[in-house]
Amino acid sequence: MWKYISKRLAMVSIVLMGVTLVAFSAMCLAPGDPAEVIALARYGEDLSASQIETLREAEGLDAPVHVQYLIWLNHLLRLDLGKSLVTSEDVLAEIRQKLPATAELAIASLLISLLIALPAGILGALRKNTLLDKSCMFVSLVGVSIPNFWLGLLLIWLFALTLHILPSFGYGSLKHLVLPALTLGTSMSAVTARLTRASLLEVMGQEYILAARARGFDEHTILFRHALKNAFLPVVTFAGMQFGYLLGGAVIVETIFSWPGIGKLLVDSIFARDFSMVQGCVLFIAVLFSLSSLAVDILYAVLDPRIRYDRRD
Amino acid sequence: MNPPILSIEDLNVSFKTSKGIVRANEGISLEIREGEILGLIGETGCGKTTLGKAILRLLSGKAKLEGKIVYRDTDLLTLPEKEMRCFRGKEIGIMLQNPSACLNPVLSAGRQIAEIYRYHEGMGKKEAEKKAGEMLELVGISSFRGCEYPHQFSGGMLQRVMVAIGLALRPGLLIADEPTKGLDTDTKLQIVELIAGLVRKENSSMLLITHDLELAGRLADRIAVMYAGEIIEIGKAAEIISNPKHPYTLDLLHSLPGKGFRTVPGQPPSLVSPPSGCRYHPRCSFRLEACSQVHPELLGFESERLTRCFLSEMGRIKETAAQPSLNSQPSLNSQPSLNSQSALKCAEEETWHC
Ligand SMILES: Nc1ncnc2c1ncn2[C@@H]1O[C@H](COP(=O)(O)OP(=O)(O)O)[C@@H](O)[C@H]1O
Ligand code: SF4
Ligand SMILES: [Mg+2]
Repeated sequence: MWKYISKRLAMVSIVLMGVTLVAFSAMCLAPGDPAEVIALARYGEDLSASQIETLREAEGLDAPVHVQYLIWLNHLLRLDLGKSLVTSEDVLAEIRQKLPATAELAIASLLISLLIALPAGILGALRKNTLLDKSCMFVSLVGVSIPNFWLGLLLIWLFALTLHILPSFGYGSLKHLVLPALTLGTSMSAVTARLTRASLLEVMGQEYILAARARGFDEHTILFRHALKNAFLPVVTFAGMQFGYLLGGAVIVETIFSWPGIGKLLVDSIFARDFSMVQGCVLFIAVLFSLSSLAVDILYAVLDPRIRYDRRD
Repeated sequence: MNPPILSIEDLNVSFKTSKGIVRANEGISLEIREGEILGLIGETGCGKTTLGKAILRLLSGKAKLEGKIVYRDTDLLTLPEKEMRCFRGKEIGIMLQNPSACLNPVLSAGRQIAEIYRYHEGMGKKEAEKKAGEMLELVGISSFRGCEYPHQFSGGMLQRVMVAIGLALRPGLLIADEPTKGLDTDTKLQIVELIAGLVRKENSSMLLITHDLELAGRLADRIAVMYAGEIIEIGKAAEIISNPKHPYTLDLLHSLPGKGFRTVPGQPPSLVSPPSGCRYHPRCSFRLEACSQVHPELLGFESERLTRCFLSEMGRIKETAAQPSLNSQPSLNSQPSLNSQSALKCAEEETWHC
């Protein structure tokens, strides 16, 4: 198992290396002279050529690109993501401040999606090809095809504008959480439900399920003691990846509901041309995503003895 | 002769598939007696596994079962599913083909045995684990390996775990489907001797399904030979081996390493549209004209011996009319005389009537 984990760790470090390269070069490749871009973002007007030169030196932009990268990397390693071009706030501090809202939304959406998807998927598999199964799968097909923003608007229309029982945007109370979490949760549940169903169906067709039946166990015991643990393996992976994705901020949903999370920060920074903030957000999202996929891999190893114990020992 | 523990009467099993109806078992009638090991042999695709699974009603929903399968005094085919469950594992144990697929990969071997005791005998965790450990020791695995997972065992060891599971509740009948498939010769022997030893010790019965005639001959009391969904010969193991009466049994014997290693030419037929008449006729080297048109019955002319072949009916003739031309050698050696056309011609007239 340690071999497996260290392999994954090595892989994640390579991916992260690549991420820093991409994030850095995105800055360099952005149209226009970086110094001018910074000047424009920070002071909002054209500066004279000499002022720009001063700024270039001050920001270290006159050094060769690879030196700039190494310096930037050095800062990164000390968790220094630089300062916002617009507000001069520390980028990491800003992100850290937005993280709780995003995490709250991520956890709530994941819970909602699993609460819908697991029972639907399991029921679908157990009652394969019945009306119940077919309607579950039809609803989830619709769920897969509906874009998030549309579902969000629909929910706002229904619960906020028509029924007046929930606020349409904002942050602070449990009531505010309901609509964005419902939007994300239901749309995520569609794929998870299908995956759960397919996975459980496959497991139920395995010879070891028949063998368990041959030992006289009832279907309830077979499902809970024999089938689910196997069937959940791919579902855990998928839900973990989804969670990692959500932690990076659900850009569209956070924007629609004015949810003060990382996704909204990213969008706002893009509109404000706050490049260092955008870069910081992208980097943060990529790191979170890689780490959560690492966490999922480790969880997988814990759940699956075929990985936990190497064949050799 | 002991009373039967299981008797199968005129069992038909068919599967609806896209290619048509697969008649995997047709008109199967046989008995397994108390304390007896019955070998069921035949090439792959003859319907042996289907028969084994049919006994415990483990076939998929597509399967249609007709006939009677009586265990002690209960007809299993008419039982509601809930009552059927009480027979599975407890009265009749089964070791399905291919142990590595039959064990749950995410549960430890010990747990898979222990849960049988917890479920059927309501034991607590500790007690069940102790029993599971004892069962492992009984099949020759040290009990501390109970915490290991299936992928950590070798093929032979996995098969031992299957034996432990199959016999966990001391069933009256154990069905073992190809317990030696994929094992090397030494392991093969160890495994079957282990199973047979345990079954004999408990005075249980066993249906030993195998394509290995030699193995069946060594362990079984009686042997039933299956071909294309039918029983074609059944009798005492020693007699089947020393004096096969059906050409298929004879061909199987010849395919043994010690007996010429001549594989049976051709393939077992499709069970969607089996050959007309005698199902073995396309491959049979003793084929008569009647064979492709008339379906032979499973008939007995000696005690404990049934054969589904016109030749053996002529064996009866042999003793009356055709005695001079068919001498009384055991048929294993009598290939030339069986082939001798004059003998067959005169007997053929008789065969037409049945
Ligand atoms: N579930 C099933 N659906 C359709 N056909 C099946 C099924 N199980 C077995 N068969 C067919 O029944 C025949 C007998 O198979 P099987 O009982 O496995 O033979 P054996 O164990 O002697 O090799 C084969 O032709 C096989 O294709
Ligand atoms: S009945 Fe005819 S074809 Fe069939 S096994 Fe006997 S001799 Fe061969
Ligand atoms: Mg088989």
